[in-house]
Amino acid sequence: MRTLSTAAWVTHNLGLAACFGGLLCGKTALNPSLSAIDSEADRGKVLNTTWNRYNVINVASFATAAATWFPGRLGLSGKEIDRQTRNLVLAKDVLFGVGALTGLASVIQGRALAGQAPEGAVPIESGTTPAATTPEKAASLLRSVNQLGNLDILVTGGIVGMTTILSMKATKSARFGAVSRLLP
Amino acid sequence: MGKPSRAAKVAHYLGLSTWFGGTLFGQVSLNPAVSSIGDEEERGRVLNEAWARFQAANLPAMLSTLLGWRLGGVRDDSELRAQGLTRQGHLARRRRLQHDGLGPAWGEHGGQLSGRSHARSLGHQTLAPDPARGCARLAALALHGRRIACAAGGHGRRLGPDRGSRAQAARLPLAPALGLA
Repeated sequence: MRTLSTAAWVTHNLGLAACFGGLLCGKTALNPSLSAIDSEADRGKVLNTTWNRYNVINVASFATAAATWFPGRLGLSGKEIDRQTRNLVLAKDVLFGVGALTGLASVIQGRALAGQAPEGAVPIESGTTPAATTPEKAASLLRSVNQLGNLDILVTGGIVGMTTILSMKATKSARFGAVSRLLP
Repeated sequence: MGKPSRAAKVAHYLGLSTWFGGTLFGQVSLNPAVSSIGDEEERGRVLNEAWARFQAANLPAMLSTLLGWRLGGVRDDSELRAQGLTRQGHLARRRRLQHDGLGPAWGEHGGQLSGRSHARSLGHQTLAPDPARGCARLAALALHGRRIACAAGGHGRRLGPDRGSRAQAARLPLAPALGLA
């Protein structure tokens, strides 16, 4: 067993799972549930506290996934298997780039939204909809954070799918099997 | 053994990711953040609604994970990659070897043992004067080799049939009758 490579693979998958599942849970579970709170300011406070708390894990998870992908990818480019695999590897590189940009932008916008009121208590209707009393700047920040979040889910879901296909191709390839014996 | 399709395997991993990441989000981020709500009843209301909504999304994710594992072939596939670790994997590998024509009858041990025995019985050392006796002995040795190979269970693709011995055996007068031609 290639201990280091196996550990990196496991960490890579866990990082991606934490990103994808966390974002999906926030979107589908937290954002719509905030309307159960009577106070619009409290809704904003819970939204900002929860997302800013998870952003720390999200950034760490994505960085871990990227940190375990790129060093391995420099050694094994996908050419060892076939042309389609090589293209998938390049597509995964692009998705990682897009994911890093949207994730970072989302974190910055989220911080800015929380900064619009003390303790992040920006009045909102729900996690995705501004209230009538929401200041214009905060409303536009809320909308952009949501759009970036949706894009992030698509990107991380795409990376998870691509990782699965790449692992299937790798385990079927005799050439990759031979090359992988040299892995640490 | 069913091979997992790409769609089944991707659905399996997406489901697993949702399950893991969603639970992590709830435990690490949502649950502690609710304490910032002043009214305790509201805290409970938000928590219950959020977790119920997540379960609605998580149920299909769990189903796709489990169905992909049990019915989508992901489990069989993983057992094939961990051959020998489980009895199921061991049996699956044997089935695959049999399917590929590398079954136990001509596994390494059986093939080599029966091959050496064939050589002896064919007269490299002690040629049997009576062809019928030689063939009967050959049949017994072939069966003996088959039993040993069955007991050994084969050791993967690298242990192919002993083709030299098989070719020798095929030249015997009663080879077709013994199923060795």
